[in-house]
Amino acid sequence: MSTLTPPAALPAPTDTTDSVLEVENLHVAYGSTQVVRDVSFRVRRAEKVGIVGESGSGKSTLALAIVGLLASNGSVSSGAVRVLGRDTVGLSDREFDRIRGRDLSLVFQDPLTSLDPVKTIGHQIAEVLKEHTPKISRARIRERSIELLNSVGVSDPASRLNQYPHEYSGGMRQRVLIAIAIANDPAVLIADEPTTALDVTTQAQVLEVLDSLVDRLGISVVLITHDLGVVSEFCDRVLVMYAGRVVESSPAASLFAHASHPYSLALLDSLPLPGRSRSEPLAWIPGAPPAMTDLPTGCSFSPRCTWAVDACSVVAPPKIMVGAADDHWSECHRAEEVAAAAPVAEAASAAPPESPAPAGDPAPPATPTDDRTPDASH
Amino acid sequence: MPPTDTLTAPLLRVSGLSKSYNRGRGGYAVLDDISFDLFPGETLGVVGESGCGKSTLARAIMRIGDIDRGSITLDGTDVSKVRGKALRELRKTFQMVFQDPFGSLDPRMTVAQLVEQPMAVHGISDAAGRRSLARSILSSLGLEERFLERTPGSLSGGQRQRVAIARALAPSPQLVVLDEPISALDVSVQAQVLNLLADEQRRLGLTYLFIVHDLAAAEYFCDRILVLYLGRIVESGTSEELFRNPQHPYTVSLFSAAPDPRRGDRKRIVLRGEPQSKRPATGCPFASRCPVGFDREICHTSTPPLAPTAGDGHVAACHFAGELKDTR
Repeated sequence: MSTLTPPAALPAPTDTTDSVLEVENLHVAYGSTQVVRDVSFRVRRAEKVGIVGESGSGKSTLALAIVGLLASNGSVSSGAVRVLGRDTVGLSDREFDRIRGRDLSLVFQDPLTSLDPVKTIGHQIAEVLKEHTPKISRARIRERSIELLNSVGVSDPASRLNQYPHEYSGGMRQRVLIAIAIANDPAVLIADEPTTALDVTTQAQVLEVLDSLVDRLGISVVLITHDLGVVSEFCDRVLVMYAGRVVESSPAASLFAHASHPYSLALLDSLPLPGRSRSEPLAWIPGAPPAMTDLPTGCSFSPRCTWAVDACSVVAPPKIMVGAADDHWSECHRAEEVAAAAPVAEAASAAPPESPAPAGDPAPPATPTDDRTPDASH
Repeated sequence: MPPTDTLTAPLLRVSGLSKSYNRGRGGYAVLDDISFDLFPGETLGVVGESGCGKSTLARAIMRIGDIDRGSITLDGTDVSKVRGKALRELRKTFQMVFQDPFGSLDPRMTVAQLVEQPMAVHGISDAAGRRSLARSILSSLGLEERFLERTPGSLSGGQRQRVAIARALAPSPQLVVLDEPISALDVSVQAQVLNLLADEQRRLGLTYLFIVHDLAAAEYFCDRILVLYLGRIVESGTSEELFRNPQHPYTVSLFSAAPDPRRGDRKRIVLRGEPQSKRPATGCPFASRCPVGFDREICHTSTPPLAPTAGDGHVAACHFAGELKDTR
């Protein structure tokens, strides 16, 4: 509803042929309050992109805007979201229904409220299959349902189909939601905190399932999470959000050692990582995130930033490329200096790991997902 | 700090504790024969996943409901036997911070009232004194003056949990049971709350029982750690020793599954099958999911006792302790 001057364009992506999802200069508002500000990124086939941020950073609103499920008072005020090349901004609910589930699918945090408690799992998978293939036969539904449950690691799927959600464990319910989400072979899966409600060993199972979908089916995953550990381990690339903006975009593997935005660095420094001594208090970020109705001038993080100089509260920082490759940028006037400052516990991580596993270790291999598809690495 | 002087009496001694829900028909002990000591000024972490009994343990110690067997001795008094007025009196000495910051605060009370209430219940100071104490503890938790007259409904989850912590610390307890106190908080706020809890511990000589599923927080914050699996202690030791050299395959798998932002390339150990809700009738409770014991007969037929292993005071309940290594 509010009209904005279009912000300075990003360095235009040179090659978009491989993109399954492109978000371009996206602004989302609830009423007149901008909560997502000028977000741009693209996701390639079989790529895993993490969006990390704290409560109120706008990450969930961004996810909802991408899947076309903003609350009635929310709207995209400018920008584009292209799914397989087609701009979805402004589509009617009916038009979006045809894209959602087929080209683009989503998994939410809470598997218990996302599943209908009075319908069997088989029934709920069937509903989704019929939604996009109305004439599908009962035999085909059963066959496909078993195949889907198998693909998410639910054992004995044939008998499991007749069970109700309460008969499933939390981790299994989340995997069923993933099965439902991929039922119609979407190109992109948007997963909003899919493992947050789960135990770590169960989380490991769910991440393993997502990994295998990427590897076997070439699905792309956008993982929205508050967990820096999960993004670093699971994702190829990570976007860090603060006050509605992406403030840093980095290859996931190098975020820890080369965080280039003071906010990312502060988040990493605040983690109680092994090797950090309790005699020294953890770093934490003073103050609170700004109200989106009352953003500071210049850089939104500047009032809380230990790196801030005078210019920071005056001039909004541009995207500054960091490092030699062209895959890492930070919206910080001092990005390069920040990049040179490693998080405090980095030295500890350089310690050699435990001695290798002894011969005859009977631990079975986890799941065969060692090899990444070549196009997932870049 | 860990107890160096073995003559120090434990503040809390839990001995042979068993607890079941639905006693009688189909009764199942959610906690089975749990024993440990907690020394003054110490922080003991209890880690484990859903269904391991860690919250039941917290509630048993807080004397919420009765236990089946065993004893819970706090500063010489068996808490499990105390009732009525004596229990009310005793409650001042042990306080709890619950996991759920939404359900544990009365939505109609203001922040100031919420923190003053436990002090009033225990007859601490006068109204003005309580207000000033509430103000100072809330401000050390990062909740300034402007929050005092607000109600929980207008607070974020993190702010609510800080109110809950202020409420627990208000009556100056000896023992504080922290049941997942940081799970609902943002990362940067978690650090702030851990720092505050550590400050208050040093200042007031508090003893903490810290129920936690976040292993990194457990390692950072705790002196010693108990690992629970399906109602039993499967391993315990000092935080340092346990994390450096875990012996039980469940502990190793748990540590391996915890994501670490510094190690994007490492391989997590993925357990077999689905989480169980009950211990099997015989054998090790972890046997069916265990990378080491799933196909070994002894693991399914004989229950391994907690036995000394690697380091000082480090115990594990496994027939093949130390066999599985975390290869990260």
